[in-house]
Amino acid sequence: MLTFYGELKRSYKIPAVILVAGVGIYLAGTVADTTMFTRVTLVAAPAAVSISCFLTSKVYGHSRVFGRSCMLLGTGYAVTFAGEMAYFYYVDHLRLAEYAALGDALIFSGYPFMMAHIVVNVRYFVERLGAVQKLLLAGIPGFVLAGYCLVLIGTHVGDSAYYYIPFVFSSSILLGLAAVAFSTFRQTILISAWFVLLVGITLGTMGDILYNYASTLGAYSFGDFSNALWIASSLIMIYALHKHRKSI
Amino acid sequence: MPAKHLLMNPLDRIVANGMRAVLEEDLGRTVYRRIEKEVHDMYGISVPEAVGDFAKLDLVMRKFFGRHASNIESKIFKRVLSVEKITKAESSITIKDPAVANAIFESYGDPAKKAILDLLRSESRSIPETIAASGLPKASAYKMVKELIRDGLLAINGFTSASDGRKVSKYASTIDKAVFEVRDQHVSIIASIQSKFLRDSYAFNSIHVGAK
Repeated sequence: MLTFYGELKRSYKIPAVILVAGVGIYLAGTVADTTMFTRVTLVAAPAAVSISCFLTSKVYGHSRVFGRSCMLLGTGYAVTFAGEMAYFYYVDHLRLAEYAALGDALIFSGYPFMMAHIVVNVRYFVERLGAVQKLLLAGIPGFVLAGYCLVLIGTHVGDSAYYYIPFVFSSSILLGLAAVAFSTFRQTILISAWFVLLVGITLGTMGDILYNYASTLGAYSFGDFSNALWIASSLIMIYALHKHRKSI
Repeated sequence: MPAKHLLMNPLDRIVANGMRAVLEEDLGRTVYRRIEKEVHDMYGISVPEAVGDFAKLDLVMRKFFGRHASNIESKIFKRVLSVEKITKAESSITIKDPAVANAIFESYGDPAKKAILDLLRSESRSIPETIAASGLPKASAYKMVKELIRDGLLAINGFTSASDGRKVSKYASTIDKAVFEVRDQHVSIIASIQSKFLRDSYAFNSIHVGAK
């Protein structure tokens, strides 16, 4: 039976290279001191994942499980892309800060689609979740949220903290589901694909936590490291989809 | 000796016919082709043949999906047909897969095929006897018998001796009674079959035992 550690030893190289590439793109934007480069990359990354999902769905002939789940993931990333575009156009370009809520709403509504992607896959392969899987599903979001709230309490932030908590919670549920999916597929031919996907979602969640924390403190800027994590996460997701197609 | 594919249990054949459609519908054609290739590479047989030798198919499915293979196999079986009632002599099944049900529906709708099925409902006969008794042109009758076997509507039911002394298989109609239900352009069939077909089915036994 392959474990997380076993798969990590086997498949860490390419995700590590992609992570370095993501950080490189972020550093290029930071060193060149141009918000445009970072912003364009942040908009293009979910669009690229979305296109990759739709292409993968086509490869699987829009089938009920693999095809439909890729379609759901693609829709989730398309909605995220729309959210990033709203930020890009209204907030950055027209300087209409009140439209930030529109971007947030769109990004937030992408989570259910991404969750549905995992649920569709897991539900087809397992009738009922095991004890460990239930623990992962409840434990990861619980742990992330509790840790986040403890940090917030320690920094004495205002009411704006409540606005960002649902984002952290949704992102951590997605991470919990990805962990459940990895444990479901660890004995199958798809283990590598789900391992890479778990890495991608973990980076995305880390980016979300950093962003929401920085936003709560009013300290977010384009030089924030969350951008590097999001870019790397998107690139790794594209690789996960490629790996899925190649594994089976 | 009949070819191996002709020996296949009719219920397994119905499951095999539905398996491709279900797998393609759920996981996509690419996945079915990979399974098909793996079955061929490992055992030199096709997927429908592997359904009749279920352990082989199960091994390939486990290679792909680990312990979840039995769950998928059970899903496929349940999507193709459900067993409603089992008695010692006769069982009732519902064939739910639209493609499989449609093929059976069309066979019963074809007067020539229906005549062959009617001939073999009351009495088992060898293929040459069936062709002779049907009064149909030899070539087309032979083709129809093959198609009925392929669709799981005819099954081997004992043996007889040919005029040259060779041992030949006798065939009987698999379905004794059938009720066709057409709803929203989808056909489903409630059929009475001999219980021995169910007892001899690799797919049914593997999934039934695996589910316990």
